[in-house]
Amino acid sequence: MSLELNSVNGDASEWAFGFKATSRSLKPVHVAQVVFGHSLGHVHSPDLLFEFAEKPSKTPSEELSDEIKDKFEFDPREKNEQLDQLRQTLRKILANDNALYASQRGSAPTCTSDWFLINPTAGVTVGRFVHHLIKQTDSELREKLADQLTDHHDSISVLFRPLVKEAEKDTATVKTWQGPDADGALKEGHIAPELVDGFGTLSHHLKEPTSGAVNYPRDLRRVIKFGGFALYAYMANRHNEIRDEANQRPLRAPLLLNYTGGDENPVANASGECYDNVGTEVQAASRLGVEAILDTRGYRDSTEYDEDSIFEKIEAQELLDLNRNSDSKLQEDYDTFRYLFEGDPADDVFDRLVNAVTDAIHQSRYKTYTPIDTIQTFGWRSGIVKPRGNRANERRLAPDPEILEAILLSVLDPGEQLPLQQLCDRLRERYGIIVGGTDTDRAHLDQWDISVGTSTHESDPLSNRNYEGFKNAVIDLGFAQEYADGVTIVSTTIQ
Amino acid sequence: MATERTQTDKDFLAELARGGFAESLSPHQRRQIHIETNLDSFLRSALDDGKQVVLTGNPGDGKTQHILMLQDEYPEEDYFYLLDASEYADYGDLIDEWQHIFANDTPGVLAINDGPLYEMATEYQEDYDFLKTVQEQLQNQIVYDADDGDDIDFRDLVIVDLNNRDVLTPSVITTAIRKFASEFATEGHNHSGRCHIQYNAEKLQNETIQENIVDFLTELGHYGGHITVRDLLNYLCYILTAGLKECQTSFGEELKYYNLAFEGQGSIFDLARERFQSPQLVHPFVDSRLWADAEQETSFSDRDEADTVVEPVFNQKKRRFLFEDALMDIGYESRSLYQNLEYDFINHRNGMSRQGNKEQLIKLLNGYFRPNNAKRSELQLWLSHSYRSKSSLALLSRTAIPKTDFEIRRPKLHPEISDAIAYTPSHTAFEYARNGTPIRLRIDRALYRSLGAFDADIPYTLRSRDVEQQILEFMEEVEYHETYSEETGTISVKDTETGRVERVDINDNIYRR
Repeated sequence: MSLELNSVNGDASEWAFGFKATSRSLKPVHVAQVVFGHSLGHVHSPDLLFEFAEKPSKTPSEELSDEIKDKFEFDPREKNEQLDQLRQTLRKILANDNALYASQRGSAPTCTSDWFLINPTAGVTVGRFVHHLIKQTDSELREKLADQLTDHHDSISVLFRPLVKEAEKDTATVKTWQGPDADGALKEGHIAPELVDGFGTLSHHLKEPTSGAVNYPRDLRRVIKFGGFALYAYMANRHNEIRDEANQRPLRAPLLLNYTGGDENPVANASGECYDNVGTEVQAASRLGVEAILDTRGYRDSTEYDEDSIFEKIEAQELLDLNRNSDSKLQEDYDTFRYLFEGDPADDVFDRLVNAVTDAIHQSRYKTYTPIDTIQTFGWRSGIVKPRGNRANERRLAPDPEILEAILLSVLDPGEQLPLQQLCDRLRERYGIIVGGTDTDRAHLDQWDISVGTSTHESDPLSNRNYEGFKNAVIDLGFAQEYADGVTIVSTTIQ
Repeated sequence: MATERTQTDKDFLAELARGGFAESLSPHQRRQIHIETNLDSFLRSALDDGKQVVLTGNPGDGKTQHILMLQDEYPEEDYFYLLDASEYADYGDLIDEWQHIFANDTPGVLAINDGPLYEMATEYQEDYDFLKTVQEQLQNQIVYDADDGDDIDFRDLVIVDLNNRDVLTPSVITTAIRKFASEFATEGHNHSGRCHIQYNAEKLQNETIQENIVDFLTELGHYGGHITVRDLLNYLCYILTAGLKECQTSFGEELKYYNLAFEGQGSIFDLARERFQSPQLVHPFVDSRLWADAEQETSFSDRDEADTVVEPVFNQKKRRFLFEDALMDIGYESRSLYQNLEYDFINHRNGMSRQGNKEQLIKLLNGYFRPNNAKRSELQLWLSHSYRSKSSLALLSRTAIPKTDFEIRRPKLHPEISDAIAYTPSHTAFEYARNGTPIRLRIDRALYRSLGAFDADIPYTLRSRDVEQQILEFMEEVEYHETYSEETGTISVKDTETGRVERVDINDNIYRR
């Protein structure tokens, strides 16, 4: 049986992470759709909405079905022009998350209530993981989400009501997250239980219904923002959790947030290293997955897969299942694979094969979309890393205020007051977040072989400039107040 | 560095100008530099009533100074004084002692910086009941409504947070100038001729110049930022002495007070350099006249040299004009230079026209989203919603809240401490309070200025997202407290790229325009 790299890649991701983090198009709104659909247990099929939201340039208003047209009492003389104009503007609301595609496959409108929840095709297993974390909390988070989603008083729901109210309602395909084969993701000491606690604490900050209504979409955003961070932090720590115990590092993968305001300084560089480290760790977790999958498929059997027979299968173009129409491209693919296998320094043949397959999966020529690609792209889409786009070598960990707000609400109980340094300790211990406020920041980074270099023109930029920047960000959010003698008190009630 | 009494007064002044405010000033020196304010009588009255007062704030706010001034009249045997909380390595020890004294009803004054005080109140309030009162008072030093914090116990314990104290008031500034310019600067001169300190002291005793310095500093105070008593004394001592003990009998413009007013180190100097130099203060007639004088004085002929030759002289003249307008015969008062300052915000903050103020603010907030269609009678609420990290392509609005549901609240000191210090608020609160807990949007100088700029039709795409975020969060919070029909409504949708606004009615499952 030949190896189909995409399938190995997906199965390896399932084994290591418990989901297929192999989607180029994964966006926060996909996660939102799955999490909300799973929370409610139902979805809709708003066909009229999707028809209406087609770009007028693709489907002019005059071609819309009568069922839609009858809902618009516009001046008949210019009805189509007016409709075109209105559709163009209203489409932007649904497409605010940049996931409204020409085809409905993978498409996901933004959502403020259940009327916009569809049976998504993108991000299903990833969303299921986030939902599983929510399900594990002892809080009322799911009830609060349900209250919010079944309320239709918000302006987006009212605006689209005539197009979605009567849409067919179906039972959502709700499956329990099975977890990774590698081990129990929620084991004590892993990061996932901390993330469960985080969702639980966040829940205490979400609104209760008032007079029967609970029109506050910001809470939906808070849940999904924290879900995005949870996904990032979980994947970053996965390799360390499933590798040989002897090599495990006791502290979380560091996430040094760059609050220096610049990108050419020791803190920004170390933050970039942390970002790279997340990539390295995700790739390493992926490699363990490849090893497990190849083992399961019998490639450890040295009678069939000794060095000579592997070379023979490469020569015969039998080892890999490559989707190429051109013979020359196919030959190039095999040549590349042979170089990878030949050049790998491992002693054991199986290890060499695992390494070669892992390297091939991470080469662009084989057109696999790996967990690293997924988490890096998702990182900037959800606002954890900057800059956006494809400038991967310039990226730093620098969360948007909205992500930071959700993270803070996940570690601060309502009414709790504590000094900023204690908050920094909490963030570091629970999530590996480092901002420069604790004595152990450098030791934590050292354990992961990341060092903050020195600066010629400022003293300890991590503990000074970066910590100050973080402090100001927390103050700007309304969660802290600064006092004399270097004391800053954090509380969600300061707002 | 301790300043010995053997110093002459002018030497002492020069020490103070160089930041020589150690806690080790002699009692005599402390008395010398003390500026009597309402706080002195407030403290005496509190001690007479058997209360404990906690003076909190930042270093330099005058906490220790006030205690030392009381100790002669209210001796340590009968009163409890804490000069420096930092001498306790463990807050627990301090709190134990404090509780003991408090339980014995011993009146006194404690000076504790606000950081340690908040830490103590946060960390130990579960174990010490009186710390709950401390925390309540700390959190309610400033109130928005007469009823706010009226259930807090002030009977035995009073916290006064000197962070809120406005030092740059005419009476404090005038008292300080008179004290330093006439009592200190004129003695100890064993030289012939007139030195720079004598020159500056004479000028500062001139009534018109004094008034102009008061105007200058109170205007600076409008720009916020916390100014301590130490900052003010440091400033005045520097413009008298330049920090030089040695008298300079031959001196130029650089040692004259109006130049020194912009050259020292400290909060007030920073504020002066940032706010009150050209081109912040511009007046077409004054500037052209001063520039012409500077050109004449420098025998200027080559236009390329204007920056290097004329401008320094012009700047000196302008600095002088700020204080000596009456002597320079320009035809205008220096006050006229302040006319371009942000009086809109100051008037708003001071509530010059209460009702018009609220309507004006509603107009500004509406104007952010619809510059040419901004109502004054109701606030339109907008919603931005997306899960990704990028600003929205479209905003929606379905609701307008009548102006009667909003109030502008002006922060003020809690009535129990309002006699203790002068307070000038840095902001107002735009408050929605229809259902339960008030929801407030803090209107400070920066937000007000941004809103003013939006009113001037700056394109939407060029605006600061931070400002928008503040406003939208307030609006989302308000909308949560409103009750609407979920079936009908008029919805406006703003395309944030083009700025176009579409409006559509939804009723009975039908769209109408």
